[in-house]
Amino acid sequence: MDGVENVLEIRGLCKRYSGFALTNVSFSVPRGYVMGLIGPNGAGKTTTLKTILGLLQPDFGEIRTFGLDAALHGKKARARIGFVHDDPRFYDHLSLAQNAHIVRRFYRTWDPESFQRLAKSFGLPLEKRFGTLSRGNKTKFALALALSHRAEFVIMDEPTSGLDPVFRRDLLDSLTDLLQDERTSILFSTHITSDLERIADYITLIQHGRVVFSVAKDEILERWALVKGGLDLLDQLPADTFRGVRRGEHGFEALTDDAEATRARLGDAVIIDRASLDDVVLYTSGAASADEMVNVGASTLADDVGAEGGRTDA
Amino acid sequence: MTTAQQDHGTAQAWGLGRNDWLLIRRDWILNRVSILMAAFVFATFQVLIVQVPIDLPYIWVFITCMWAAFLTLGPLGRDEKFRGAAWSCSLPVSRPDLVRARYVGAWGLVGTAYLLALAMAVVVPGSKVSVSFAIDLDTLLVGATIVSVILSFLLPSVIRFGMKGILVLMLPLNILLPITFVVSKATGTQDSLEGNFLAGLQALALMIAGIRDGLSRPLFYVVAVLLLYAVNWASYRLAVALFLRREF
Repeated sequence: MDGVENVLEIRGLCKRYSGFALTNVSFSVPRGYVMGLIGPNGAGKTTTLKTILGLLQPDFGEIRTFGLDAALHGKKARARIGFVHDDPRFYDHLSLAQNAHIVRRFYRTWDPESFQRLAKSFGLPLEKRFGTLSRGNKTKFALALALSHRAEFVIMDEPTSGLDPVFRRDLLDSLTDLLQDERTSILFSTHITSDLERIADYITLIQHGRVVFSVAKDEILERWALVKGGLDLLDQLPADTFRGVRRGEHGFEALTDDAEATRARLGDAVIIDRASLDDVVLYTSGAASADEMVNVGASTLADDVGAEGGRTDA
Repeated sequence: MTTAQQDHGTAQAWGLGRNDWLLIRRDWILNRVSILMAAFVFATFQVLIVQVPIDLPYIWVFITCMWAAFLTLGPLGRDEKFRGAAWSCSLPVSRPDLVRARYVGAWGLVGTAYLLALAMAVVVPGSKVSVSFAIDLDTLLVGATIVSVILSFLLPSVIRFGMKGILVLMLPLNILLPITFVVSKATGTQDSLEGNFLAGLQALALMIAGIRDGLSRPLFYVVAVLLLYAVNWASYRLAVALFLRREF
């Protein structure tokens, strides 16, 4: 990503709460690309997105949007950003048209035709009150607003949660169309990784408040793999061979971040399959029970690509 | 003329920044029904109160301005009900913009409420409140002081903590006052405490009257307005500092 203009740069972001902390979060979103932000519930995705928008104040670290310090130039940055909250909040007693009428005045680049087109395409009943809409329609409305002021950077927090598969596909297609101008960038947080496999160019994985990796999606799909073999083989291997291991009764399934090296090392003794993003999240989070899964090499996760230097919070 | 140009022109006509105008306009659209309902209740109350023979005419000023000041909490409460603050902070406006719009909107509401009260004083038959008294500079100054005291205390707390910000302010008072009462009663100093409190108020009124008589009238009003401006400005700066720390 070096040398490409970035719409977002986060360096050493730290934010501490009681019982949770974002630690040394660093990644960038290049102009014209889609960055997927994945991680299990409670990993820190929403906290990260909120600090970008200025809804939360970081304890330490730097956030730059369009090259500007977000803390000093938040107003200017937000004029160019479209944001979809995980729980869209507008005024329940007003209709969608009335809510849009309020929002549009704040954006000098508002495109009324674009809004009408999106509302029609999303099947939004503009005369209905916002409070009477389903969760899915609320998200669609928030999306329509976010996309109607020609935002150069669209940030979406779990936008496809609660949406039906048909609309999810249509939404992803709309986002793909949006990217044709090579000017619009998208940061898309989700735990539905199949959506990102369709449209994301880059993936950042956050676990327990830390960035595990921030790399091109294709690199993940090429480098990471599922390895299946016998338990006797597993017992012979060093503990840190794999990123996560799942023991079964007769064999194991493990995740490796270097499929080629694993193939060269273990050869025909194992079966190597392509790992999905879901697999990567599952195995790196150690989400299964302790009997089934051993998450090894956890202390080395922060050494992966994308986690750059910065003082950790005290 | 584009919408943005229209907004800019309207804002300038009112002496506001564009974002101030948009935010106040937004608050009006969101709250116009509840504001109109509150205005109806307020006007009805005024119809009753202006007919009551009041020994101290400033009692009418006190009640009217106090009610008008508390009217401003309605829009803040509704915004909190809809959790609009987080959405507002996602807009291309700064937090100082949001706070300033609240203050300007609050004073606009208070001013409109006072005009409504004045209208009632004019139109209600048998009104004991004279228009000349209502628009007298001394009366307006007393009213502005009452509103300034209430808003400058309440707004920073409510903007920062939401409607429970009222509790943040009222709780210490509700603890402190009873304790003071109990202690004064136990020590036998209650009568002198009440007497001292009233004497203090009288002394304050005498002091202000003395300053007014010492200075020329116009100078006194200028100083008083500047003082009120300073109090409101300090309150606004405090509200901004507190709101900057608010997280969503």
